[in-house]
Amino acid sequence: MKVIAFHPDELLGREIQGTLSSEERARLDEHLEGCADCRLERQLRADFDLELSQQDDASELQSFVMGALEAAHGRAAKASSSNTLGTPVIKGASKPPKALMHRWRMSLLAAASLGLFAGLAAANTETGSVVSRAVRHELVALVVGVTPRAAPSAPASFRAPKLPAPAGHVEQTSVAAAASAGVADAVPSAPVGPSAPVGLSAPLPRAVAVVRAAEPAARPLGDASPLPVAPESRASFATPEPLPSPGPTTIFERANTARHDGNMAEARALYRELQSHYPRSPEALLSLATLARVDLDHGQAASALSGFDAYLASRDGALREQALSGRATTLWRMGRRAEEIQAWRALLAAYPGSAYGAIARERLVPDAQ
Amino acid sequence: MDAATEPDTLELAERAARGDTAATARLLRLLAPAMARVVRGVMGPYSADTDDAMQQALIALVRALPAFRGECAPAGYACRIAFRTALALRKAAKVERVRRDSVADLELVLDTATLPSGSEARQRTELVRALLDEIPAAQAEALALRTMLGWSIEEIAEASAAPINTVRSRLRLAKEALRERIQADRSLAEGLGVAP
Repeated sequence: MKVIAFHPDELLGREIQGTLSSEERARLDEHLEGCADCRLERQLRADFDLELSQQDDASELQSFVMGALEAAHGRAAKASSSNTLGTPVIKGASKPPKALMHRWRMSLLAAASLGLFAGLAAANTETGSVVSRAVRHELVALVVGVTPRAAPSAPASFRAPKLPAPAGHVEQTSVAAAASAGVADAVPSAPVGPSAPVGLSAPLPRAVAVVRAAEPAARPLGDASPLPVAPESRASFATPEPLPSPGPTTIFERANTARHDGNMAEARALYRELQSHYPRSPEALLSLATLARVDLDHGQAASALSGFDAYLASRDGALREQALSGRATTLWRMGRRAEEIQAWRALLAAYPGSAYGAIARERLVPDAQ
Repeated sequence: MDAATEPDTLELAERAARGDTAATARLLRLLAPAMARVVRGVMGPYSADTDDAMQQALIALVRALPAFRGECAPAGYACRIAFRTALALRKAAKVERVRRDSVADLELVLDTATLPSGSEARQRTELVRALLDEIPAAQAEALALRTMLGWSIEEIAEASAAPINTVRSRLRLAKEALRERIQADRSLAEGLGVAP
């Protein structure tokens, strides 16, 4: 009888260290053959080992250490510790090149995305869409989360590591600062120790800036055709006046909030409510791609595929490139290789300079798995 | 647990707890690499908040040191603080993204285009990170310390002041949740041999 219930934990650790004897190696291999659990764990450890070994940067750590000492003890401590260590550190100007490269990459991606949507908006204007400039501006803001003028870019990316905010203060525009206030405030007051670790005991500050697109007034954005009567437009003259129903933007925002909070059932219900009540609104069309993305992330590939197909069949073009990529990725995950290849080709044909071009071309290699 | 095997980390931690700045500085230098590994593991290689998380984790450790009683290895203590700080920031970033990113477009760009294409390893590590947000904190912590630092069950138990069987149970539940997610992705499941 093969016993696999007793996982050889210590052998997995020693395998990574390279200290297995041949007998232990044989024992581990035999166990791994019959134990999916240990295979998974071994694979994950190797994955993280590979990923994290590429990020080691001792000089960066030194600047963080000095920053922590400075924050905790003030400048006097910094001078003292610098003498003790015998390694003077240039603080502030010491952001390592790797971090800068990383932040540049993030900024460029954000800027590229913004540019993409600006370009699409312009293209739609040329083809005779009736959506006004103001509406386009609002839609771009809605899609990328910021107004075009407030694109995420260099200023945010080049800030120095944030020190904790004073107790009770929550910066309104930076998630890092908001979270740091939560973490830093939790430390002194919490009974820190193995039985009561810091960080999660205090509620996270949620007072972050909200970039909210204005609710459409009389009709959904971007649609010149006759509209279904929205619930809020059925207001009766009779009293008492009913509470106004939420419009498409509000429902969309609630759905997105639920999605990011991990309330997927609620998010799905709200996206479907939006699609049902305001089917021609831009929010409803966008939600087809968004919901498809949610489904893809949660392993519901068939539903994701339907969603991407529905979005691509619509007249909306704002997320077309993303939807084409999402569709190809979905087919990849479903193991439908022939259709996946067609999907990547369709993406490259429509968007030769696509941000997803690299992955598309790699997936088009004949033996890609 | 390299830092834990340093002969003087416990002594340094005790001196740091009494307010010895030089000891604090030396201790931080010893513990920072392991903490950075946890922070980077939790935040992921493309997070813009990793630097902030690392800074905050070290600050949290310095502030927590006076409460350190030497009941576990300093590295375990530090890495748990690093994990919780990073996870808190990661969750806060998620909340922020909701409000700024109404649609999945940026996520699509960041999730797919910037990752090494076709990298199943990256898919798996991303899956673990996503799972950390969803499962109970104790399970998430055990899974992170196990997969990111390669700690033994005994080491995790010592750091978290929990019985070994409790840690085993936490890891088992976390891996079950992970396996469910992997099995929902056919290509990943086949690659790992955990297809249903």
